[in-house]
Amino acid sequence: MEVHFSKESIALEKEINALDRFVMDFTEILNKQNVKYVVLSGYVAILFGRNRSSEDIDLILEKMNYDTFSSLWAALSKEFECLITGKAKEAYDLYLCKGYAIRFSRKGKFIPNIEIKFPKIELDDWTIKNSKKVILNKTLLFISPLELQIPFKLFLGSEKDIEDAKYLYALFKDKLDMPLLNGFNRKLNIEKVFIKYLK
Amino acid sequence: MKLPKIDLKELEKFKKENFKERLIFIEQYADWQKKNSNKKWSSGQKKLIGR
Repeated sequence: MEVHFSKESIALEKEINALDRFVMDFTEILNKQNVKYVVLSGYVAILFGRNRSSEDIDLILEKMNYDTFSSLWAALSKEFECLITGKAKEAYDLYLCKGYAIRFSRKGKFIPNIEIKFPKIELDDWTIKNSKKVILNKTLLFISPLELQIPFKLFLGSEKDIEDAKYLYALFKDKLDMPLLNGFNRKLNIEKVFIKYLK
Repeated sequence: MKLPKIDLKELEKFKKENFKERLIFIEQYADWQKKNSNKKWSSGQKKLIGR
């Protein structure tokens, strides 16, 4: 596996699958609109080669005012549609600002879709502030740091989540910021789970 | 129809063993992936996930 891993970014070239293409097309619009976001959870493992698919991609979008959101909505609407509501104002006021997620799919499709939410807790803000840049076949996207994703997957605790954590750790254990990862293990109270499944 | 006897403890044990085996397999796959080219593993992933 050829991956260029640095403190600032992870670069890799791979054959792009349908889910990669979906995420890349969506995040390209976010990049052009100059908004901050992170992709997290299952897709992070899939991005780096985990052999499973997913119906939905999780994404945290920075909090923004309605004008900025409206402009983003217009850009997204050329290629994607919101599955929850067709009105930008409703999506913003009744969902995102109230802590609920909205979902976008390609027009006329339902799956896969991207679930978007504004940061709700301090951890969400942290992950946006400390997002990791990924350069996938020269396309830029931002993911939640692996040092958080691995412990958080263990915290979630389903078999699928533990498998994702195991996979990411097995791939990147030599490159991770271990004090940071151990800090999250402590904070999430999953040190024993980490030793049980990942060590 | 007469249903077979089900031992839930036995099934729980089976579930745990199955999960443990999957984790071992995932580690083996990650090791294999690290030793192989991106083209090789990602073309396999593409076939599985779809074009």
